[in-house]
Amino acid sequence: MFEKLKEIMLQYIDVEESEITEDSRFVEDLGFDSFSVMTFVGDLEDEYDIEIDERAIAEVRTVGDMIKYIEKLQKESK
Amino acid sequence: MATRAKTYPLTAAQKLHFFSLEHCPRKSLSNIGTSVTLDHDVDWNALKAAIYKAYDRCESMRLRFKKNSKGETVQYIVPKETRDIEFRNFENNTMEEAKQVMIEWTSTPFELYESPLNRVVMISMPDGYKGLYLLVHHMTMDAQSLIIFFADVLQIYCNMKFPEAAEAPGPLSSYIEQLQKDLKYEGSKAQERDKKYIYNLLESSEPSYADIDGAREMKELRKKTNNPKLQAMHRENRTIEATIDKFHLEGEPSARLMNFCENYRIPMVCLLLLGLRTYFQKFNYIDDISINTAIARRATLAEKNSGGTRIHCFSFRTIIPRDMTFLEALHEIQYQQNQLFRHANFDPVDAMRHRAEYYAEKSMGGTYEPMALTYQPLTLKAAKATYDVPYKTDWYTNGVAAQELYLTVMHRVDDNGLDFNFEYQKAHVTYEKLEKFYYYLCKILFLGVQNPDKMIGEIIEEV
Repeated sequence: MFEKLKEIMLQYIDVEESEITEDSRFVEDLGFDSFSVMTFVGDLEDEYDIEIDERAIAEVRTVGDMIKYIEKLQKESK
Repeated sequence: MATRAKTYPLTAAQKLHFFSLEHCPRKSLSNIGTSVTLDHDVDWNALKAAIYKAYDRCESMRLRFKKNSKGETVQYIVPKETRDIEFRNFENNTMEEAKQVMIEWTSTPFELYESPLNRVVMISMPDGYKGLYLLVHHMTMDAQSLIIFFADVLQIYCNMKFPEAAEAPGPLSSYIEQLQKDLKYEGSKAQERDKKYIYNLLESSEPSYADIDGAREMKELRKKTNNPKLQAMHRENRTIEATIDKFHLEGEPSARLMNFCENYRIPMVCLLLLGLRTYFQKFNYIDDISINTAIARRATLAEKNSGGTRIHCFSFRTIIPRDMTFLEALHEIQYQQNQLFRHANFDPVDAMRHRAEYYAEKSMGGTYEPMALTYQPLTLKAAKATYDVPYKTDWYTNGVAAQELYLTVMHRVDDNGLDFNFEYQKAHVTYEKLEKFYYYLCKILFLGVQNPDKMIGEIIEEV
């Protein structure tokens, strides 16, 4: 999932792929703004066929947090 | 050649401006005039060559409109910009005189059809700074596109003059590709989903108008119309003459606001929205406040670098009870904004029409928003275009405004302080009213960021 997330993220941010780690923070480290985050979230919903809650997303700070959150949603939908 | 070029319909963002233009007697309404000048002895020939190259790279600077055989307005790109680039020497004028000339340029409407929709003038200013004045039609470019174009010209120029120190700028994205993406949205499932969300939101209940002057005018209107339940404002024979005034928030207090946003992970625009709506809440004695908010709709790198105009403007309604804390209110605004972001591709004119029709009887065609807000975080410095050369930017009024009050908050170059640019209809808003408005806005913001657990009602009482 990390690789796929990176691939999608690189449409949004002008950083080297190698700079993205699971500890990277979307806003502070990767330069996402709030509109980009929400559009990115829409891409993830399409990619993983999940529904992301806008309130819950406020707690997702890093790439690793996002992976855990998506995995949790996938488990819940099974 | 131009008439044989492939044509495309207008996007929803363009239709928003087109709609405003159709309803405005002064066609300079869609003009955006701005300048960037540098403390640098400009090589005018190199700058001119850089401008032409930037025109070549930016499709939306070569955008034209025409009417097709059905009478619909469509757009196309001309392959080359061939006009001469003008030069204006203001060295023997005062700064005020130079500004007045640029206001005059900005107030001169474009011919909308089969004609260029921008004007670039190389300027030498009385203060010794040199650079560019740029005028664009809002149906072709927005503020972010302008900044990207300026940055491109400066990077090309620097690369021409100092190739060892300055790299050539990277490629820009295609405007046409983004346009096609926007047009594909029409009739899509995403559009259906967004429509459902926006319509539900609008139909939930009727909003209430709040005014910069407080509740007095609304009360009088209710009496006059014998309609005690009226919630929308009507102003007859309203003149749309407008001007711009700027208020500077110094670097240190601006930094305090930015640090607060960073610490609490709140977007600056949410903080500004809370400050503004709390002002209206205080002086209108209502918790239900609507403000128009401009969404730039530039998420991907391709969208950010494609030029064009992408702003969708929606009413942003906030119902914040007085017993909610400042921080809770910020989170609520952030949540609502995030929801709106996810549906922001929806046609804003459709949303406006739907609300007007839905509340037609109640509102009698009135408005609910006293103002609009745009927060523009991008600067030329952020675009890494100025190589630490001191520079100045300015925005010029086009003489009219569709809305009573339009606030654009931007970061200043020298100290990263915030500039509050108020464009306002002179018939309703005055400089003195703005001073009061800005004073209370700052008091609310700073009291809130110092005491995020304070209740909104307490803040309203204390400021």
